[in-house]
Amino acid sequence: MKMRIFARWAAVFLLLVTMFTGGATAQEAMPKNIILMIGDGMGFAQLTLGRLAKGSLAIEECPVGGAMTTHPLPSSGVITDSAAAGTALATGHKTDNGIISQTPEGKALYTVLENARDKGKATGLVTTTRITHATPAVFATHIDDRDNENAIAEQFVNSHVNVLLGGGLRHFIPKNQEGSKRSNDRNLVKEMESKGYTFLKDRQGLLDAASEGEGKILGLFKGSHMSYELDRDANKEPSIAEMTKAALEILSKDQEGFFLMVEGGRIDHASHANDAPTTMADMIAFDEAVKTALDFAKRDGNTLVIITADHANGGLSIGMGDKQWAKPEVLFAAKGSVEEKIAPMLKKDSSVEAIKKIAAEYMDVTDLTDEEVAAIQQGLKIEGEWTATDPIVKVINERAHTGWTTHEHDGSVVPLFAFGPGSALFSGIKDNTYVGKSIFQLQGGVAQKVAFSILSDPHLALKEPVLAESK
Amino acid sequence: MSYINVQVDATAGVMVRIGVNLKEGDPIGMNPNSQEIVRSPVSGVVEFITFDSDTHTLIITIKED
Repeated sequence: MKMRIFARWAAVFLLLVTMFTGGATAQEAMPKNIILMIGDGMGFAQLTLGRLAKGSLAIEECPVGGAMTTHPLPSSGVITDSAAAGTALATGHKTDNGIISQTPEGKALYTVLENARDKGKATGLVTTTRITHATPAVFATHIDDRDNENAIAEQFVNSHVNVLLGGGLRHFIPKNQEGSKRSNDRNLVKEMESKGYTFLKDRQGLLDAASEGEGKILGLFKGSHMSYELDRDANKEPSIAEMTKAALEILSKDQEGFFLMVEGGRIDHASHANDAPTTMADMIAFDEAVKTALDFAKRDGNTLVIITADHANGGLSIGMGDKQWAKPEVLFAAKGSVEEKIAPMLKKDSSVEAIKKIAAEYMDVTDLTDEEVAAIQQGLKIEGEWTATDPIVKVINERAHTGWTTHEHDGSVVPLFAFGPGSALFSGIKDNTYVGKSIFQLQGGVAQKVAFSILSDPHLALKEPVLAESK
Repeated sequence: MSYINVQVDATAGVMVRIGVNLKEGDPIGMNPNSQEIVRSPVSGVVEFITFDSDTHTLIITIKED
């Protein structure tokens, strides 16, 4: 009888030890810090485009590589959006498209960033999109509609994330302030300042804050998304590499370690537009951020860097139709994105002379055909704020031999690379939920207060072991 | 001849390609908010598909017959 009681208590003890230490992962392989880098829309073809430009990428320094599936719950089909894919990476659970770190039934899913925070580590989110966009949002907020970015901004106020860098100021300022998208008078910037955040709005402010290297930072550098890399004013807006470096300088001061997510968010947007030069430039900018993270990890020796994507985009091919060789020099010549630089200029003056002048100056194309000019002019006539970009990107894609099969996300597997302690877990082909689950393991299991809530709720323990209390 | 713009979800919401002939009422994509099917308001040809990064949607431009 005594032996049975002893055996039961021993089993309970082992269960607790497993939960708090992360089970099978050896203690010596546990990284103190984890940097998760997500190229939004970065399929293998986007990676190849970057490689064509640079010869080799910093990503290639990772000794461990593989691929990752991206599909959401079957109820959303086989092609994911950034909300469902990000939720899988951040929580280890699949959900439906459009949902931010919740189950379709509305239960909040505990994230790896929240786990790091609850374990006393510093946390950070860096992106080139709005900070309220799906990928950064999934790490620290919970909501059933990714487009409710005002509510996501409100959740960030109480998220205790130490460093928030990106665009999206319009969701933080009151409705009477110019550029605001809020429907009420709440000034979330002021609210966060009262909670100890230093608010930054330009590159110099970020560099100064990084050199001081202390405290909580809210850096919102544009009203909406940050600029495409080709359009960025380097004196005003920081690059993604500069934001990553600043975040690392601040977060690495924490003695307990940190979790940082960095998103190259506009690779996705440029791919939606089928704009190959802009995709290439944002891919290279993301790789520069990867280099910054890898350099830190090499110096530190106790940092795991995981690099992946949420999904691929555009069905990009290097080589098109019967032109099966690439001409990257055509892509190098572009001096602005089609969506935000070239098309708006053409919209102002759609004369044949203006089209030829802008094509020569911004795309280095001096042999536009009459048909191409006519197609561009036709695209400038559509009503509303938009300009049809297809006829413009076609000029570049046909000369560079880059092909696209869609303007949407595609369902192919995406790259998965890792460097540092624990990186061996990320070889081979993995499901996207595996990444979230593995990060929990490498963090030493779920935080104590969450573990106790799981133990007190058999449903959570048996069915959904990483569900947290709803916020 | 006029051009009609219709906004649809950009994740996987487009059901037409450039150059496709449409009849009024044909399904062309998914509503970005409700995920319900969006139907063509006119008969015509799909002329352009344009990405709007601000709203993460695609604008389908239909040249009316």
